Amino acid sequence: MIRTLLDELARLRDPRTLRLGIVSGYALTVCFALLLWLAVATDALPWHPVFAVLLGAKLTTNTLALIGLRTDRLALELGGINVAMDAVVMTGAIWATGDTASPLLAIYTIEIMVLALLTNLTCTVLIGGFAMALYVAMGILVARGTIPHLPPPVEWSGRSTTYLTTAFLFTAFVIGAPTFYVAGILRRLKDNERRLETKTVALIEASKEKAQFMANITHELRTPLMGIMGLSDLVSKGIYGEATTRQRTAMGEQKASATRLLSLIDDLLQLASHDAGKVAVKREPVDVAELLTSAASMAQWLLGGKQLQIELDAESSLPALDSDRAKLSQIVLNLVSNAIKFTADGGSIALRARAIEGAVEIAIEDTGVGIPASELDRVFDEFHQVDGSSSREFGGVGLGLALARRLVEMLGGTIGVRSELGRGSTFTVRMPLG
Amino acid sequence: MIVEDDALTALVLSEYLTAHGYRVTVAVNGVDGINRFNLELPDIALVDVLLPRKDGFEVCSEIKLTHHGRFTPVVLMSAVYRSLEQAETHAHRLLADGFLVKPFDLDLLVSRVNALVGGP
Repeated sequence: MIRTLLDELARLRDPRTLRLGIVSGYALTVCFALLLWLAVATDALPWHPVFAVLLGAKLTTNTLALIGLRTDRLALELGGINVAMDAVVMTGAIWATGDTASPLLAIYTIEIMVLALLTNLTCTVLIGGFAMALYVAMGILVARGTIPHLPPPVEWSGRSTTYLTTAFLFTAFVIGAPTFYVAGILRRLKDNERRLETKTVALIEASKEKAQFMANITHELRTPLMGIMGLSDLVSKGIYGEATTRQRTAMGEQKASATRLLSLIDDLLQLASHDAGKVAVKREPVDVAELLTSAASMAQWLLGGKQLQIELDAESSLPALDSDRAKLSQIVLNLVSNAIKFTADGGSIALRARAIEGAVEIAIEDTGVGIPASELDRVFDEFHQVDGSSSREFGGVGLGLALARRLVEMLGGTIGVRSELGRGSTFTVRMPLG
Repeated sequence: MIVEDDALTALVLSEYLTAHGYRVTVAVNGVDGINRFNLELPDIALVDVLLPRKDGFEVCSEIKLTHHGRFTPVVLMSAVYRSLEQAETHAHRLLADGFLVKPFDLDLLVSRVNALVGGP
């Protein structure tokens, strides 16, 4: 119970709330000092040194709270003392203006309203109870004669209009001022809400436009390729008359180029849609051994005439992954086609998979050119190629590995690379089991 | 019947299908596609999705609402869908009989058409 209460109070450790409390503390102290000055100057209230003590005490705790907040030491504790001091000062003010006959009783309302506004229920009820106890204690002490009864500025005599008017005006002041303040806050909140709403609508609109734009770009880029690839097929399949070997080779080259262009377009588009964050992960049980087998057979097709050995080495008892098969397959294929690209004739590429603690590790190993140590942490960057010079030996724009890393991260896995220059590279993907 | 606004694609498809013994008619936009369908009552419609005046989805559902169209296979073609799965789900909802993601292999097209209409 006590612990819950303390937890509740500890939650108030918010600098903005504390600062607001301190600022309103100063504002109210100044207001009351002015009110007091007015009352004394018009002889409505006889001066009593206790007023100076009360104002001084409030200013002291308020300043301490400010220092606590500024230096970030005991901010919440000093703030609490400051709030408790409010109740003490208010009770003191009520005592000095005629104790139980004081027209200032409504002064407590300020405290309760400010607390209800800035803090939580626990704090409000605690301080409210504290104020009530102080008020009762003050009444008892006066009744027993322990502390003197001071005359109220206006006398309560049952039918005194002056008393009622004073009490009414004072109540109007203590309720009106905080309400005015609260109304200001509400107005600001409402404005913020309206601004946010407009912004949200604009954002939704923008993301819709982006999706539409992506669809249009996809269409515009892929449509001409259909024509180009189709025409090559028409010629090489002999629809326009029997083609010579040279014509068929030329058409084959043309189609291969178009295919490369297509895969580049797809990579770029996929990268762009990742940026738009609209790629969904579709989880299902994935058999990694089966996935590698089909990747290995696709690798044969990706070789494009290169003389490379493709090895497959997957543990037979691999646990099933809860992952996105299509994306995982694309990761493996990107790594494989990267390996093929950087491995010369006579080399070999191995696709391996093994179970490790809580994960499955897939490794694509090649005997290719390797990556210099200084480049190892940059190979996954977009558009990065180890040899960026125009005379470079290897084609591509450096998107395959970047895309692989993005996909791996999207699936909650990790990707890494080990390499030895001139001996080969091993890319390792670790996918958590679920 | 082919409904396709990209002239080169329309040419390639019609030449290849013609070479495989089909008689082909080409419409260049959605409205033209529906008119031509009602006039010539083809055995199959290959409809591009992004078309001027009326898109392929509309053409497909309008064809399926006609008396002749109810029993005519419609194959949608589009360059927009990246995954076949996504495209096929969409096509299924539209009562289309197939979906080809461009660029597709011409032999795949012929085998699809053969399967749907039982050959030329």
